[in-house]
Amino acid sequence: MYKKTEELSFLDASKINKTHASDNPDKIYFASSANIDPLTHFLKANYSLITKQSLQVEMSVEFGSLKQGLITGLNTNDAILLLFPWDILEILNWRQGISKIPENYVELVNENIELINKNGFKKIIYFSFPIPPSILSKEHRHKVNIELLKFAASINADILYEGFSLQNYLLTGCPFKNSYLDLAAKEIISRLLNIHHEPKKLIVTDLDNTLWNGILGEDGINGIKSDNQATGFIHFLYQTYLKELSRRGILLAICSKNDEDLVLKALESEKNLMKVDDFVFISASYERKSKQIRQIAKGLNLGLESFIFIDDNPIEINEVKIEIPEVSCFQFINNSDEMINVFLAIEELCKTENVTSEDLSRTKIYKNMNQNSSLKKSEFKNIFEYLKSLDMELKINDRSFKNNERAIQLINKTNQFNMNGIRKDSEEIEQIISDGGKLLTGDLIDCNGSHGEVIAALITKDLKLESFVMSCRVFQRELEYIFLKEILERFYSNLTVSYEETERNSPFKLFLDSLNLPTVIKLKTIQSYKPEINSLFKVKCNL
Amino acid sequence: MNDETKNKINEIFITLLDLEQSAAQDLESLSTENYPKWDSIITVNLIIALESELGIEIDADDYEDMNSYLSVIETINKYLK
Repeated sequence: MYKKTEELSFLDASKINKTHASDNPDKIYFASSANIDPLTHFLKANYSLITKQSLQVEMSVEFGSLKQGLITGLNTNDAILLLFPWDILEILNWRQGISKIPENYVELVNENIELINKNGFKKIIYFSFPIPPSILSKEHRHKVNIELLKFAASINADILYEGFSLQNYLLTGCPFKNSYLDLAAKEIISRLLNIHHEPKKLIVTDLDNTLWNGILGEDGINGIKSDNQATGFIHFLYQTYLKELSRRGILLAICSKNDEDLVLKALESEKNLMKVDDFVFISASYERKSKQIRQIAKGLNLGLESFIFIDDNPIEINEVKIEIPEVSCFQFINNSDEMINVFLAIEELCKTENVTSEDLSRTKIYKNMNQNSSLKKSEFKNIFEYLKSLDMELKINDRSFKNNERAIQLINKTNQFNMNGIRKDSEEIEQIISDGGKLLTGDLIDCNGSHGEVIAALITKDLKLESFVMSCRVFQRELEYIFLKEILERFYSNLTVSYEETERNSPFKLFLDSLNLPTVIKLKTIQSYKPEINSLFKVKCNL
Repeated sequence: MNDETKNKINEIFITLLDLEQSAAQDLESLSTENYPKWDSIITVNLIIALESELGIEIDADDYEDMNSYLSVIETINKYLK
């Protein structure tokens, strides 16, 4: 089975080539009018990584004109042809200067295509790189590009779009961007070894802001949207797509941090296209998602490598990637334009072999997959390292006397991470403060920008936590611990918890559990259960 | 330039020119003139290696200065500032 290998630097590739060096290497013939010497280094390394054999790259057409090379009649039967626009129409060669494309260019193209066809290459990879400007109109230029693609498709070429560097091409004869060499080598090697992945069998989807817009535990069944209008539209598309995949035999499961009874109710509601019966497994709890996914795999007796996991929250995605690297993860993006690529990448992984066709749309998908490749590999060994890389900063604000609108809103709108669910209007809060209490909030900032005021605590004069709430957008970041630790350190020696179970606040219960259910929280409590948080946050106090 | 960067550059030279590890201290005298194996293909690979290992992009104007070990070090120093 084909696994995408890690991106290689030049020295990585050298090391691999050195360890695999052998007297009896496999040989592959390449034909190309370009100088592909810099590429061979990466071709060899990526070949060895997959096959564990060494590779010798032989050139059957050297740097120059492809036409010339082909006419002089080299044996190219076993060769892989790396084809560029200027091989199909020579006037498009940047190295020859920029001149007018002749009216009869189609004839010239035909000649070359015939020549290529006659030579019977084993495999052709066409790099649809930019062509030089000319006096042709924009529409006409576009037409030339399309013609070239059509010809490439007619000779069964695989088509790649990215990685052109004019500078490299002019200076060295190698048309690839240096940073693209490794990727180009991977694309070529994977095609050449005809490697196909096993199609995926099951999609595990998140619910809130993924299957629907909104957060079930906060917005309620009537607040979530997945109908074909406005903010629900992309989720409507997602649901119809999941249903289509299900019709084709892909299994569907839910993995959500939610209350199961509420999830079942939401799935029964008229508003959702997808129903309970569409899913083979519904996992709704506040366990870590990696754990939930393992339970699904066990429950269905399926291998985790056949799983796709889709979630809108990058923290959850990374947690799963770190714990179960064999699961393919995709982030649901609330921007429909970007979601197109995610849909196409999922399609690529779910497609069964007999549907495979080497057509234009396929290469488009490959292209899109590459753009998403940052989603595929996780550079972090554990969730702590990942959180650390976020460069999180907590800014503590005293909102006792002014600018308290957001704090009041948090206390009155939050359901899940809410100590007691008790709503308080501004008069009640002002009363507590004039009696000597405090209203504190925290802003979270990370490498992606500011999340705004997302956590709040209302504390009475006699050191009772009256309200303690946090937005569900920032779950899983240990923010609740550092916030509490900082206010204990700065203002109070201990705080009494007034926890009350509500229908929706099990996330808060988990937080208390993790501290061994204290009724009074001391600085020591947090330090002993969560010693690592100090290194995750920079803290600023705005008082 | 710190030691780590310098070691990386040395390693690139050793790899590309197929030198012994022990040659590291003799690198300073290397140039295209006194080391025939260092041809234009090696220079292209050298630029690729330096760019990918050090995370820099070398200007075309600097390509022709990449003809001796010492001038490579000097050129790279410009990019590390």
